Amino acid sequence: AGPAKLDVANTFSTNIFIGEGAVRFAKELETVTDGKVKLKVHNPGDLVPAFEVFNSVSSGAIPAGWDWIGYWAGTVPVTNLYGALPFGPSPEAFMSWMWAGEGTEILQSAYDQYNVKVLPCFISPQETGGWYNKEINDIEDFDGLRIRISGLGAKVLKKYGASTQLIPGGEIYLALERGRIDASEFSVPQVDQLMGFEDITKYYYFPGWHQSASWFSFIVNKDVWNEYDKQTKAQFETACRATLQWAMAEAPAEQIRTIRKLEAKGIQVKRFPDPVLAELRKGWDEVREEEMKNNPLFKKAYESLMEHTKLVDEWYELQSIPR
Amino acid sequence: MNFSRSQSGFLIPGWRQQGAHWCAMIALPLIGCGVWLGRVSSWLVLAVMVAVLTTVVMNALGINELMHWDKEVFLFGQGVTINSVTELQWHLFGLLTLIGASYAMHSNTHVRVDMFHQSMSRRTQHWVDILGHLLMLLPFCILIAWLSRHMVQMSFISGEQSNYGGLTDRYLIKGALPAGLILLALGALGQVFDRLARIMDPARDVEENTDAG
Amino acid sequence: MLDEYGMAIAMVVALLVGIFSGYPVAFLLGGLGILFAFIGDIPLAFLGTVSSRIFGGVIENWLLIAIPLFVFMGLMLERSGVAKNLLLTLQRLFGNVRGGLAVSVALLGVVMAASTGIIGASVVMLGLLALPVMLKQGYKPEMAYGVVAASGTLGILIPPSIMLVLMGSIMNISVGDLFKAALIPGLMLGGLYTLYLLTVAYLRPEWAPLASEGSEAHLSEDQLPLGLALLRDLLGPLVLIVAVLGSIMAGVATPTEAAAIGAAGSMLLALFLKQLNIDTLRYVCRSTSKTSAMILFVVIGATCFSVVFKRLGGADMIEELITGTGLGPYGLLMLLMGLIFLLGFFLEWIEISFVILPLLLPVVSGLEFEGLSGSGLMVWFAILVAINLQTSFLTPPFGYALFYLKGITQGDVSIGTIYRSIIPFVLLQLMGLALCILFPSIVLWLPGLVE
Ligand code: NA
Ligand code: NA
Repeated sequence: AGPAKLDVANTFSTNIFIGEGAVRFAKELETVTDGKVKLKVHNPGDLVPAFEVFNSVSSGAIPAGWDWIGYWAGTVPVTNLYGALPFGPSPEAFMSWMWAGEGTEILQSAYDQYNVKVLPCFISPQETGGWYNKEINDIEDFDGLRIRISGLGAKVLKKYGASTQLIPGGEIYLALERGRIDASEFSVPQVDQLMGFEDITKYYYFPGWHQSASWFSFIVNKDVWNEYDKQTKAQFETACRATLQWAMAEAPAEQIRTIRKLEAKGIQVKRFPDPVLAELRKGWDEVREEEMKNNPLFKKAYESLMEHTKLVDEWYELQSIPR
Repeated sequence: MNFSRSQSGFLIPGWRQQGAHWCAMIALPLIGCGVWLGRVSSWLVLAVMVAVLTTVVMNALGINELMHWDKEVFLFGQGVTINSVTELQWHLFGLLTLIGASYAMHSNTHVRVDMFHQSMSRRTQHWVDILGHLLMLLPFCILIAWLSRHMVQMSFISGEQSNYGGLTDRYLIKGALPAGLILLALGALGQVFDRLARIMDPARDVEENTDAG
Repeated sequence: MLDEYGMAIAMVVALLVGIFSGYPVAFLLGGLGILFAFIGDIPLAFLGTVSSRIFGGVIENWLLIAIPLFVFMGLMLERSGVAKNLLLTLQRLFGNVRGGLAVSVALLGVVMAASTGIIGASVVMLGLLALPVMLKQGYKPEMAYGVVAASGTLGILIPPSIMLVLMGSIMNISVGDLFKAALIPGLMLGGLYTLYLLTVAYLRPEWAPLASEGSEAHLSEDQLPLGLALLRDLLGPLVLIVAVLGSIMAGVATPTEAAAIGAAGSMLLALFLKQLNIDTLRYVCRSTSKTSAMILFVVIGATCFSVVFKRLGGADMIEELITGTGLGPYGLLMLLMGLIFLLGFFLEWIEISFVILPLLLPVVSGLEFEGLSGSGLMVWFAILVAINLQTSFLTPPFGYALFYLKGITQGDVSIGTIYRSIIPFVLLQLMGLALCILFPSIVLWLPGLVE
């Protein structure tokens, strides 16, 4: 009836919010199964390095993992949409598509050939625009800007002449401090604050246009998953929803509390000017067209997501009350 | 029994001389191949250096893309960006390390704790290596190479590439891992035969030092 | 405890026995991992983690690119004679101070420490530069090897240090604070080395002969006035060091990239001194390839060993050991320090930081030390762990720094000599650690965390 204890390789340290999700999920699962299924959550590198989690779950070297979905875009390109979709929907609308629309189904269809079962259990709020040492007043300010950013957002910035680069996690701090790069995006404030960037950068930019919401998931090898009976599988899903609910409830207020603390330390919180955002949006339209042309699954997922989002947004607009 | 005098005057049975001869013949290509590849690949360190310096210069000048073309090109996709060069650094580094491992083995560079090893007879030292290679190194190389196949296959089937607009065809460097381990295993086999030859005909120990330069 | 963790314990014992057979350490670590996976009945598929760990942890981990590049730089400087002239001139600068050469090696170690956080690279480079000169001058080998290994590992403590960056993210503390906090303890250790070297040289003059007493009197040939000699021999290397450090400080390069600037600079310097030809280049490339593969294969073997060790309960055993005691704060601190020190015998610092440190954090944050709390307490503890980890690179039998040193000297020296050479320095390390425990302000003053 499936293993009573599963090793889970986390792609983040359990002491930061985005990695803590795995611990929360383990707790919920233990509660709903009355202790019959326990998860042992391992920090990155303990079993395998973070970037090797998907591949190792797929091969069965490890039974399960906890990931940021966007990590696997090199292998499964559609995961870019779940991990970091520029100008995408709000977390609420995205959640609705995942659990009441086609979201999870499409993701699962992409994972099927790798023998991986996915449960999207955690959403982080919109990330920040990043830590900058140069002011962005105009779209031209991106020309020649050296920034650490990945995925689709990077493709957009490249159109405006930015040098988007890849700096290993351990070297971001120094690279930013010394000016080897001018800017870096990372995560939500709650996670960012642990990196110490406020000591070495001037501006903290918003909004995170490159990533309106981002998904994290529990992945498990299908052979292992299929050993569980129907009831246990349902219990995994229940624990997953409970974790998701926790993440959505916990996060937003905490980000502002964190931002207040960072401001007290002297960082300037800024917004990209509206004309800059409008221009970036145009760039994104081009990147998206290319992406949809090259990748039919991305096209399918994007269209489905946007159709769903439109309905959700329309409902909230219709119902909006002046505050 | 028929005794004969080996080249340097040790008196050993003929079968041992024959055996030593055959073992040495088997060892020769296995070791030779590892040494040759090692010598050639050692130049990669210069390539790594050039790749890193290119990144530094491109970054200093704020250049993101060095070249761009429309057709898909092997490994480089549609252009050379700063991230292609960054990723090229560790691709080259990976090859240097994997091929260098067998080169280092043939030149006896891998670290030993030699407190007791030094006082052993040559014969015993050879037996340590033979048993070690058979029980430790060969199972490690063969098993890990075999278990890497999923990683390589998956990378190949999915057309895995950089998520930073860097290099494509990630399966190449992933495939280098099992290839490097097999090279090391073949080299270890060569070393086993080489040691056997030296045990059977101690004269070979005195005469030749096959440690690669 | 023995039935539950019997396998994990057996693995350590097998490693201890195997290592003294003289079979290469890297291969032994990997082979024992496989062997115990079979004995311990671990599913074969689990060993797929080893492939992933090798790919993700070594090949794709391009922080490690600094290793071949710094090794190249060291070999190039050695081969072109730049290193020798530099040290001899430094020695001359110290005039007739006994032990001056050793002290200049320690100083060089501290300076280089600032440029890299990768242990293997700095130990090997320093070893290639300094050992031949010290030995030729008649230094007692024990003294020469000790100073090279110890000052070579200082790099991981003195900022910028990749280890501190990693620890900062694991422990939730500001990397900036950690960098500041590590500076004084790092310099203090360098100072302790210097003090020790001068004392020994004074008490035992035959261990540290002056250049004029050495087997070959180099300096007598040198008729150039000191000032000019300094200019001639120091200018090149100085420019090189400034280029490496300066490129990091000026934001032109990351520490890894700075290694390439150093490597290219060493080639230019050799070219300038008319010492660069195809033979030299071929020799340097070949040696670099072998030496860095030797270092990296120890890491590859260890990654296989440790994943199986953990799977067989090794990490749980340690956790049980910590949580099961009823000690007071200082007692517990001693236990933790002792434990990390012991683990450093056979685990890599990355393993210790990622696997062991998270286990210790809840324990430590709950402890009460006089005048310490909050982030001050954590920064202090982090630095204690960092000094301890640096020491673990030096402790026999599994000190990685010692292996790397042995690797570059090949058959010329026994590991026993290297083991003996390091003992005084390990004691100095422990003394430094004790000072930081007794006087937390050594750590906390610079980041301004003293209460
Ligand atoms: Na350093
Ligand atoms: Na050690």
